[in-house]
Amino acid sequence: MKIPYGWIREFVDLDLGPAEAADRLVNAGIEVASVTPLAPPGLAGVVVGEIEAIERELGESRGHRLLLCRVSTGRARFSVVCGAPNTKVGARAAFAPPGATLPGGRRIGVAQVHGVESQGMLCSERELGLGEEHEAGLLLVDGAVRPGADLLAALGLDDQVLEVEVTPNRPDCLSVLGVARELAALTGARLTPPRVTLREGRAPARGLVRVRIEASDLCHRFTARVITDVRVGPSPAWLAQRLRAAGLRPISNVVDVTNYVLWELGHPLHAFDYDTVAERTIVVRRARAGERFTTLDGQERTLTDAMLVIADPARAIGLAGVMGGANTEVGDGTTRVLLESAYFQPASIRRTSRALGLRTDAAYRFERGADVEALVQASARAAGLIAELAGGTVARGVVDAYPRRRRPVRLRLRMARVRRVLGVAPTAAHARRILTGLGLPTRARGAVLDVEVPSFRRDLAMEDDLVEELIRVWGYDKLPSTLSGGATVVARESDRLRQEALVRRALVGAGLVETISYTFSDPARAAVLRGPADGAAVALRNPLSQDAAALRRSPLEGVLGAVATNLRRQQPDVRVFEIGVTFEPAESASIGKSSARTSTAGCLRARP
Amino acid sequence: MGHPRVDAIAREAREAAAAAASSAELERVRVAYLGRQGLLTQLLRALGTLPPQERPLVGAAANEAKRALEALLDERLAAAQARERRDARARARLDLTLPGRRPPLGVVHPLTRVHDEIVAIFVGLGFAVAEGPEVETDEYNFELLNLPPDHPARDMQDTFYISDAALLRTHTSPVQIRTMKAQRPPVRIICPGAVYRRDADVTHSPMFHQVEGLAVDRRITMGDLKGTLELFAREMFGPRSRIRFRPSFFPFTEPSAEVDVLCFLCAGGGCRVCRQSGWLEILGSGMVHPQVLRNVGYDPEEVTGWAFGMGIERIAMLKYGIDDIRLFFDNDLRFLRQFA
Repeated sequence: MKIPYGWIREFVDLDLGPAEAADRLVNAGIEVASVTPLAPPGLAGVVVGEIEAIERELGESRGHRLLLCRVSTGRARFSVVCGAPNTKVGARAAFAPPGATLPGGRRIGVAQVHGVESQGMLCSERELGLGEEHEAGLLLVDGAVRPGADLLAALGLDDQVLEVEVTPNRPDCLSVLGVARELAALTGARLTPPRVTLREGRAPARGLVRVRIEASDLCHRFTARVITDVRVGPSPAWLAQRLRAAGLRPISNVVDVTNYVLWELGHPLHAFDYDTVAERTIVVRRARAGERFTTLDGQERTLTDAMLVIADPARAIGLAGVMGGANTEVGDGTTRVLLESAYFQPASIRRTSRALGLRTDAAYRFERGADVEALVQASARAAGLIAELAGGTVARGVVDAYPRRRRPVRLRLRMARVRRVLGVAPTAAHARRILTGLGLPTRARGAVLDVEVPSFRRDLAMEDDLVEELIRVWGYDKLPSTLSGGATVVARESDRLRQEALVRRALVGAGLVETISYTFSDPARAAVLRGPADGAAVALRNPLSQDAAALRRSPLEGVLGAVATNLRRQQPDVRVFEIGVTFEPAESASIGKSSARTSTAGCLRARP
Repeated sequence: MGHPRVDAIAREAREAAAAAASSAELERVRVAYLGRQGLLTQLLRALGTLPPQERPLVGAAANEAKRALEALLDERLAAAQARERRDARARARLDLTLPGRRPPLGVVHPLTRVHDEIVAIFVGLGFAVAEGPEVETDEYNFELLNLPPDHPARDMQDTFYISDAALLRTHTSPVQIRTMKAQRPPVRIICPGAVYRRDADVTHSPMFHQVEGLAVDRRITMGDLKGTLELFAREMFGPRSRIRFRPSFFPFTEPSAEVDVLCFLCAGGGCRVCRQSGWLEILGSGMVHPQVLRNVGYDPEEVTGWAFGMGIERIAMLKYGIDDIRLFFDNDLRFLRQFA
């Protein structure tokens, strides 16, 4: 997951640079695969230039009017030839003065264009490697940015992106806020979650939408909000820029807000076109076996009755937790939005997403476990942003169907247990501070801590999970280095290994080279070796390739392969052997188990 | 029969052959008449330039002459070679100073070497070797190790299936389960063997080898894990070797740790192999998850344990500076003989 460092800093006040923050995360178990600048490599020295005057027209070139402009960077003035259609006096645009470099390392200098000197270059988005836009012309910036300012800073591109790899037990870290919370716990810095500003209208949401959950085993909670009088359009630059920095593609303001909140808070949301939902009613039910449904990507899919759908009384309108439906997609004509924020049972989402081969950001989070309590907050955050960016009014309140209420999780942590597992323990007071810092309300009763586990830490289910939290934050370098006492048993190699070693020593002594081959077998090649009494080999259900579709019955297959390889490579004298496991279909084919034994095969001499 | 020009060449060739005394001279005659630039060869090649009515005549004669000359040369060559061999033997004396014929060198596969080295270290530390089947059940490979069906952590181990319940083991951990189910603590074992994951590139092989270790007893701590692995690292990578623990996640251990060894190429200074970090990731480890202990009938309040697992290929690649895992299974003799 790509997270711009500047975004993290919005929620936690850190004294660390991005590389140091990445180090802290890695040492606490959150892998950071890379820290890379947001700006395209090679781009340097580009500033904001103001077009002060258009001095004259130079003629046409490839359908564009070439103009000689006077560009100011505050301190200096430049004569620049430019053919962009949006060139006009007063505009502030991306300007590469002589000495600047563009992506790929192209150095800008003074050039002769149409017989006049052009000192530098006014640039489009594409020329800067910042996007695809080129036909519309120059990349313009807000009139409030002063000429001469560094363009990357003006666009918020002077940032670094952390590529975070989160282990499957920590879905809470699949968000900017989650990583910020982790960093706050690790550094003691203060965490400031995004402030939700939501002004609601007078009409109650309750009167606009009804929610009925028919499969509460698969959907523990479903909330709906309605935003009316929205105008769908492109997102403002800051939002589009943020999404691009995170590796997402901007689509429209409403959809972008749901993705923005997904990244920020980690909770997947979905926006429906309210007016396409029949009878203003959401039904969460299992799909009917064979039910056909077209997802947002335009693919028609055949569902099974193990899958969960969001439906209206007439038809399915969303594949729960995986992808929305084409029939209720938010588009340019949408004026009312129904915003879903829900919790789905993880295993069910995983089965559905795998069965359909549809891996989405939403499914990725739901199958690891979403935060059933925070989803109301995510919905409010998104509704507020939609109203802010697309106009509109948020209906009052949220329709909240919550049939399976989360039970509070309370754990007891004995400091004696900590010492027993780790061989060392912090003081109870220190332990309490660590857990509290992680957002786990903790009370100390002497050497025992009572810990309340918040809904975002679903991975904490037992005492030893807290032991890990303690040592993870305290530091694995605090572990002592000891050797276990206790009874020692007489250790030895296995008889089989010993026999194998004897055979190997003899064959190596006789001048043979040991080979190790894949135990996969090519059925076509194996057929050559097959005796008349041999049945079929053990077959793999999902082989990587057809020439590795079964398991071998003799190491001779490996030896022959090695001989062939070496003869083909003009090796003059091939003497090899292999000791390896072979597989036979089991007598009782009840579960397709197979028996294995070790055998040896060799080739005493082969020449080209 | 015959053609004056052909007959002349043939006669000349017969005479030359008769005059040649050694196999070398005979070869020269063969080249002169039958080689690529030989007279007879050229004659045959030039057939097309003759008037049409002459072609069959000359062609037949030349072919006949070629066959006859070949037969004659073969016969004389055999005689000459026999004579030369006889002479050579007669000349030869028994030379006791000649070096003997060197028997070809046998070589143990580098993976076997590294495997034996690892096993020897742990056997020396009091660990017994335990082995188990490579075709396993879902229950032993996953469920008893705290990896229920539909758990996202299964993504970490892409699996080859044989049937719904049977699969190629993705780690040697089921051997730990089998051992613990069969005996009471204390348990101190290492489990070497081949494992399978559905993955293939420069650093991933669909079949590779692991060694796992397991210690379960009344008083076993994560500090013991660290001490044991430090000892191992010093034996394996040299006396100045250092290790560090990093938090990680495995469903069957809690707490879990990734273990790095100080890069032995740059001694921590940063190089290409350790990607400038100074450390090399060599294994995963942790304290055995209480649920796993319960699954095999142990009481986690009574005993604790640690476990680790490392890839033999990974260690061998680091030790020998090999950057493509596929080389181990390619079995090219030029590669294998380097480990003699």
